[in-house]
Amino acid sequence: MKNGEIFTSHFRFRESAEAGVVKRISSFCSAESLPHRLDFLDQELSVYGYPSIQTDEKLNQVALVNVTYDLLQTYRRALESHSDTADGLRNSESDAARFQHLLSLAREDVATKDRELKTKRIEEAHLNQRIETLRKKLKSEQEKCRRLSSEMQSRDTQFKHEKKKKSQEVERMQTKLHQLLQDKKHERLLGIEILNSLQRSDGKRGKWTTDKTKKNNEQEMYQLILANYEDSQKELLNENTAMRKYLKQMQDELVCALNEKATQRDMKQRESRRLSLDKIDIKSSASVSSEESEASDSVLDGMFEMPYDIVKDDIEKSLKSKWRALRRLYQHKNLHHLTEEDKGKAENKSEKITEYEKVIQEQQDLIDYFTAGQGEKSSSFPSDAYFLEEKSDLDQQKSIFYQQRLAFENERKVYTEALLQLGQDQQNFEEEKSRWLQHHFLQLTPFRGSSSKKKWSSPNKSFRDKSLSLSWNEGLKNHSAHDVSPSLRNARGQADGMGTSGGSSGAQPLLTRSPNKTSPSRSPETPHNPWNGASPPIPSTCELYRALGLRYKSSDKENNSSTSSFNLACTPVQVTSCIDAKHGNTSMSETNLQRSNERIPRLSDRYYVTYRDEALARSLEEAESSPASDTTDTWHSLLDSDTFSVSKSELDYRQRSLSDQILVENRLDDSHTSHSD
Amino acid sequence: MNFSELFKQSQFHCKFSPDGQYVVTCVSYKVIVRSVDTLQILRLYTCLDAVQNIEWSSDSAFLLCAMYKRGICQVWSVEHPDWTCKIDEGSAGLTHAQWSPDGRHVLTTASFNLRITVWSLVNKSISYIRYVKNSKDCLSFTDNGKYLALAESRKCRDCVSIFEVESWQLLKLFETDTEDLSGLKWSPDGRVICVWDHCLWYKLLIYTMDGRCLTTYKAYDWALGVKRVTWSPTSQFLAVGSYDQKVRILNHITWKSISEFSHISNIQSTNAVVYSESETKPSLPRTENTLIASPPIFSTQSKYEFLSPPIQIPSVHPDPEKPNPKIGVGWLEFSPDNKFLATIDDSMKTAVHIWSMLKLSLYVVLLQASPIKCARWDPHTSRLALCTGNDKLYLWSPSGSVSVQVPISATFHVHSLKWHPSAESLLLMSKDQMCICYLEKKERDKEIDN
Repeated sequence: MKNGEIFTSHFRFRESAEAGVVKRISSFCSAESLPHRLDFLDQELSVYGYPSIQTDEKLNQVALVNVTYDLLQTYRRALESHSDTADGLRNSESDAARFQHLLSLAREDVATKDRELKTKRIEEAHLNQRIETLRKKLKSEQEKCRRLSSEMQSRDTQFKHEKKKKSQEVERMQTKLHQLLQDKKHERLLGIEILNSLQRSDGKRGKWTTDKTKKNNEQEMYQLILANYEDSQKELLNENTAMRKYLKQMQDELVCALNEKATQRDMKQRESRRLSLDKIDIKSSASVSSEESEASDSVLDGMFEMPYDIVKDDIEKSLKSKWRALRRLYQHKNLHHLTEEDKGKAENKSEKITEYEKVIQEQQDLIDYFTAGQGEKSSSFPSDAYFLEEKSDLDQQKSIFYQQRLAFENERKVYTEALLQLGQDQQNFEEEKSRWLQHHFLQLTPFRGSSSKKKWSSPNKSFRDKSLSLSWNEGLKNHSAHDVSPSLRNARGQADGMGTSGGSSGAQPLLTRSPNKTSPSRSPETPHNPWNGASPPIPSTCELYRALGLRYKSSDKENNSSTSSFNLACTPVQVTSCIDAKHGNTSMSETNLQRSNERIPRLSDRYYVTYRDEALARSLEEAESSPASDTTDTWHSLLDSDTFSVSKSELDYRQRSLSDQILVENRLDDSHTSHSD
Repeated sequence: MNFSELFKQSQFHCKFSPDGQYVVTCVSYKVIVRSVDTLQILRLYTCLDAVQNIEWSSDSAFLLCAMYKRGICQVWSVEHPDWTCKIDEGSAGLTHAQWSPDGRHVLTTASFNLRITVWSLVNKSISYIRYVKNSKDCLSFTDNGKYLALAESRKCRDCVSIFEVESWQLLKLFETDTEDLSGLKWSPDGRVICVWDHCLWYKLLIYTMDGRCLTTYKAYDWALGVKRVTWSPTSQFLAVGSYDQKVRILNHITWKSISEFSHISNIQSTNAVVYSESETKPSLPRTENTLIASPPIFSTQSKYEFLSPPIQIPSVHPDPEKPNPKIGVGWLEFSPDNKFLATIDDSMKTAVHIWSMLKLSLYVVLLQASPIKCARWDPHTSRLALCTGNDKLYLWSPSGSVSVQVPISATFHVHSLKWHPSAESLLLMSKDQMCICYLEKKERDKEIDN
């Protein structure tokens, strides 16, 4: 009954059902129909195999209860199994649904695959078709090729045949033509017209061609062939002996090398034995040494002179074994070296190398830093700072220098003025003198020599005065030169047409030219370089510089003339050469070029000498014709660079000397006059 | 380097005599013999017609002038200007005339290679040689002038006949294994004869004088084959230039190929020195009429420059439709000292390849600005002179290369050149003029010393 309670509590709708059940149960049996119903129940129960619930027509309650209990039990079990099966059914149903779904998916898949398959099949069919067509084509082409080749062959044979026929025809025609021509020739005599026949080149007479000579010729030919063969055999023999010799030498060297190695190894072995090292090593080395001894057995010298096919195997074998031994030794040696002390040494060395490399790298960096630093901003700053002091110093010095220069220029002005004054004074004096002389001259009887001197001296002096005003420094020198040999000075003055003041400046470049001509080797010594920037702008210096510049220009001209003469030279070969750098020899044509270059300037020199400005040349000659000492002196004085670095004291000195000279001259003149007196 | 003045000539008929004393020039029908040293006219001969070929006899005593159109030859003596000789081939016609090595016989070839007639100037005798294949490549004398090898075709078979030159006796006749023999050449030492087939078949055969075939060399089949063959001066090498732009060197003992020199337009090798001629034209102020050619004074300057590989040599691919394609090694010559081989490939006419025979490799390439017209080795040393049809002469030696402008006239374009036998001077020829270029003697001596 408890169960029933649970049922009712749990399932409310079951209550109504129970009410139904009660109704149904009550409808089945009533008090009157009990025995019947009992019978019926009993029968029904007996059908299900239960024992009878009636005993002696009476209801056996115990049995009924038992039976009912059992029925209930079975009913419950039945219900359970029912629910189980229902569950199972539901499961299987869902499974079925899933499977259905899967099935549908699979079907779709199959359909697509089918489609794909179909397309593939179509493609395959296409490809097959194409293959088929290609195969057909290939076949046709092959056939064509075969046909063509056969055609070609047939044509070739045909062509050859035709050619043969044609050539035969040609041959026949040629023979016929030849015969015809020969017949004709005989009528026309020979086709050669010769004034008189010649002797043979060897001077011998011709020989009759007889069978004997023919045989001789043939014999000679065969002899020649034989000689040729002999010669070639000799050549081969020589080559062969050389080869054999070399082979032997090679073997000797090999043996030598192997022996050296073997002795070294023996020494080592002994040591190793003493030290009782690994036995295996000894064994292996021993085996090696045995092999070596085998290898170092040299083939006898005579063997190399044997026919090669006999001794070939022996020699090859021995040489091979030697090579093998040597190779093994070499390998062993390499290993050995690596394994022992050398390894440590090598490590040391490599360490050292890395160290040195580091040092080098640092040095390189430093160098780079310093060299690159000059152009860069970062490093320009310190360098600037470094020179700052000196720069300021330089500026100061400059300013001082400029001041000095100014003062100097002022001074010079004063001096020039003074000089001008002096000049004027002198002129006055001169005039006075001339007046005085005139006076004397009128009084005296004329002596030719003295008068001529006087005549020339006066224009000379006047020139000097003018030149002094223009270029006093030069004038000074001219004066000094004049002092040495006044006659020459006079002569030159006459030659140049002394009347003009430009005469002196015109004469100057001529003088400067003369050493250039007389001793061209000295020209590099000309000190025009120091004047380039440093010379103070003194008129005299300028003038001289101009004069030098003129000379310089003229040297330029000379260069030009030389180049032009190079062009005008009889063989202006324009040679462009290219020296083979790879093969490292000087070009033969380059030497040629050099030679031609050497020659051509020489030519040009001559050219220069002969064809330069004629007036110049003439004047040069004149200058040369005058005593050499004078020209060189003037030259030296001109060259003397000291004269241009004019200092005050020197100026003073010069001034003094000038006035002295004038005095002296005056005295001289006086003495002349007195002498003449 | 000095240059003589210009002299007229026609058709490049200028030759130094073998002894180096004379130089002969032809101006139409006039033959002028000059002394090489003074260039004074020594002899002047007048031929019957315009001279088409001129040849010195080996002793420099006689001159053979051929007038093919007329079918006659005239022989002149230098020593005796009055001496005359006229050879008339008559109706047979004349296609070729040459001296025999003894200088006393003249060989003339009649038209259609009908025959070769040997005219003796000693006894006026005449001998005929028949069945000749052609008279240019198929006729070869030994260097000592004792034997003559001649290719013949008898009964449609190629043969080689050996003649003894003194008596013109046929010593030997042997068939050759060729389809269509197109040339033969004695080796300089006279031991063997090299015979080669028509260019349709690459085939080269070496025969001894008695007809023994020493070897048959075939580099490939089917394609066009041998173009030119040259012996080295010592007979140790045989260089075979072929249409496949390769030169094959055969050795003289085994007759096997030692090396193959292929002429590729793209040079990759770093071992070879490449000289390239670079021309610079002086820039002229541009005038309005640019069609007027620049005056000859402003001729182009040229110099050699080194190029580093890879280098592309300009090459022309021949038209396959046309016969005799302009490809393959058409000129090859050994230097007299046997050290170098110079070659020109016909598709790369602007380049000379110089191969070192010691290293068997490309040594130098001279790359000119224009196609090379003529190249010749110095007869004594390895020095190569070449011209490209402009006003310059180019010289190469192992020490360097140089281009020299011919200073006489800018219109003198060098088309051909010849060395004097002593190698002291060069004969330069333009189309209608010639001059002699004297090289310095000392320079040469110096080189020899080196």
